[in-house]
Amino acid sequence: MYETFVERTDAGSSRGLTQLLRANPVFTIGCSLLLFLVIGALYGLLMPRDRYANESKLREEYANPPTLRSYVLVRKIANRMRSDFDTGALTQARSLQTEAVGKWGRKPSSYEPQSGETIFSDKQGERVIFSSHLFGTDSEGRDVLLRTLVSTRVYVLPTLIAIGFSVLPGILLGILGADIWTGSLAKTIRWLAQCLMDVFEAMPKYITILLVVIFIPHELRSFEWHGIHWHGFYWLSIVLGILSAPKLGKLIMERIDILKKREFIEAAVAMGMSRFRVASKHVLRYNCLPLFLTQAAALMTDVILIEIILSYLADVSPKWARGITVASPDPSWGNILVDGRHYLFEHWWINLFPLLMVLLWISVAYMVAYGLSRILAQQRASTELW
Amino acid sequence: MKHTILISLFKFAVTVTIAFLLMTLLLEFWPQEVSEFAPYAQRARAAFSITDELANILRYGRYSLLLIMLALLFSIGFTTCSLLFSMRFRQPKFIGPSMKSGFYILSSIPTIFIGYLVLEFFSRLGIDLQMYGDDTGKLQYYLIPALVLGVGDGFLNEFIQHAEEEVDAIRRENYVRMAKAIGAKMWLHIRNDFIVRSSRVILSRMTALISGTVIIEFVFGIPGLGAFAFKAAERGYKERLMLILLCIVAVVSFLNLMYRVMVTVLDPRLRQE
Repeated sequence: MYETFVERTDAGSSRGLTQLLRANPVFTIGCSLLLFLVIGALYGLLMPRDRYANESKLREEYANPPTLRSYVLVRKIANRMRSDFDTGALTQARSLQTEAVGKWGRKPSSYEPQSGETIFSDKQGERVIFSSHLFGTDSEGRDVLLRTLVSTRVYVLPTLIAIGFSVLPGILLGILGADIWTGSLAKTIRWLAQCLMDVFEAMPKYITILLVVIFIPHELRSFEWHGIHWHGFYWLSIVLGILSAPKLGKLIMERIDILKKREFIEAAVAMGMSRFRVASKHVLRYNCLPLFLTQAAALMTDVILIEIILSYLADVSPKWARGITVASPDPSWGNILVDGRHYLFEHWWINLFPLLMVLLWISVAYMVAYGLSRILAQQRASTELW
Repeated sequence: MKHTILISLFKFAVTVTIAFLLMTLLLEFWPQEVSEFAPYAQRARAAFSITDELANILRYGRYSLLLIMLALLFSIGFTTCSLLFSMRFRQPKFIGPSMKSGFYILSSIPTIFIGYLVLEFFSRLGIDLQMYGDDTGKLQYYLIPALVLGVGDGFLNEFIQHAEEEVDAIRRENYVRMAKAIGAKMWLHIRNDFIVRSSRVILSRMTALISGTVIIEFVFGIPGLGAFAFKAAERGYKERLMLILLCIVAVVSFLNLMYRVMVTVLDPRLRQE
């Protein structure tokens, strides 16, 4: 029986790997999709910047109103004023909107380009499948597929930063907060660690991020450091990591409380292992790895969602979010969605493909994390059987 | 019992104090930036009045509270449907998983995107969902935003998962299996455990709901606490934003305190300990 398990989990041999993948269909599907997405992202990155971030068309369009963009700007101003609580501004906004509708004759969502307007490079705003632009083009005439693929790079480093800043404090808080320490000082520290976890857990993510954005000075939002371009969004990923650390800490704390009564921990302590070794090897390495994986998947989701939300907020309040989000013409899923916000139904491809990509990445992250957790559980079961 | 209440009260006080200290330290020692916000922020700081700010938070907070309550109702409704389907209708096999997958996919879409999609869809039908000054008292303007809040950003997904885990835990309890075996009334046996566990599920998602109001209020123009916070952030008004954050931490900690007391009251095993 043991040999069968060892054979099943032995990833070193090709036969073992095949069996492993066959035994975990979710993991296999997740890995295949991940491979596909990574190849896509690499393809996007190898393309010249002119193909996905063309600025010249943008300038041309601003120079030749009225275009769809200028109409959108009027609506943007109107919406901005509408959200104000001031009733005077509200009246102004309403009159602006009426004026806008009067000028172009219809709402922006139902606005169609007139003949001769080259807003969309394909046939008058229609998406032509198997043309040079498989996912169509955006309002500036840029390729949506390429922009969607290239956007993947925006989220890699922030996700890694968030995981780093979540796992390390999470482990520390979890160990400090667990009921394993004796002595009055240790108990006070445990109490404080638990309270600190409660504080950070009670802080709503988005409101905390609104606050943090104000605290980041403008000169620190975008700078070069040893050849690495530091972006303002990286600060937010640090905050995101710290905010999600208590959740991981509490899970580790609960796991320690359950495990401390188990025989193998007692045996390790009886053999003279230090507490640090017991915690790092038997608790964290063998029993908490699935928690870290799930946390990593959750953080990836959070990083993507927050970038999208900040892109929308930056569209309304560009001064406040300057240097925090990825600025157009450089693509991110957030700013592609913001770009397509005003023509959700007519030019649906601008939104649909980036949105599908977001859903795909989130699903892949959870599938791979879930699959790996299952594999680790199988390995643990085989060890326990032995 | 008294001991638990005292400890919970003390923990609540320590939590709020830590939050207050963190924010005060941040405000006092973080270098003040000279930016376009500076003149406004200075004027705002000079005129800062705690009572006025608290009154504002209460005034705007009631709209957010209504939104949160409705969103919770929607989430509970969807979760109950999903649980009932997976427990009652096991044949044909694909119904339960496909319904759950549908909820998962819907829930993975960013709230802000669903918000704009719904707004655009209803505007095509001739219904303007955005709220204006005199619409704040009308319940119908909160229904769709609450539905979006209760579904998007993975909220429903996590709610269903959490609820399923808790239902499984109740079903695995020895006393429940025993009651089932002897044919006793199930509701009487699981009532307390059900209340405790459902409160835990709701409480665990409370911060996410409060957080989501920023987005929903921004999209639908609801003048709630989230919109108030965003306005403060836009103008660089740190003090107001910190006070809002502190109030939210206090409210969530108070709910945690209530939960601990409730668990002690409802669970006789904990009372004995």
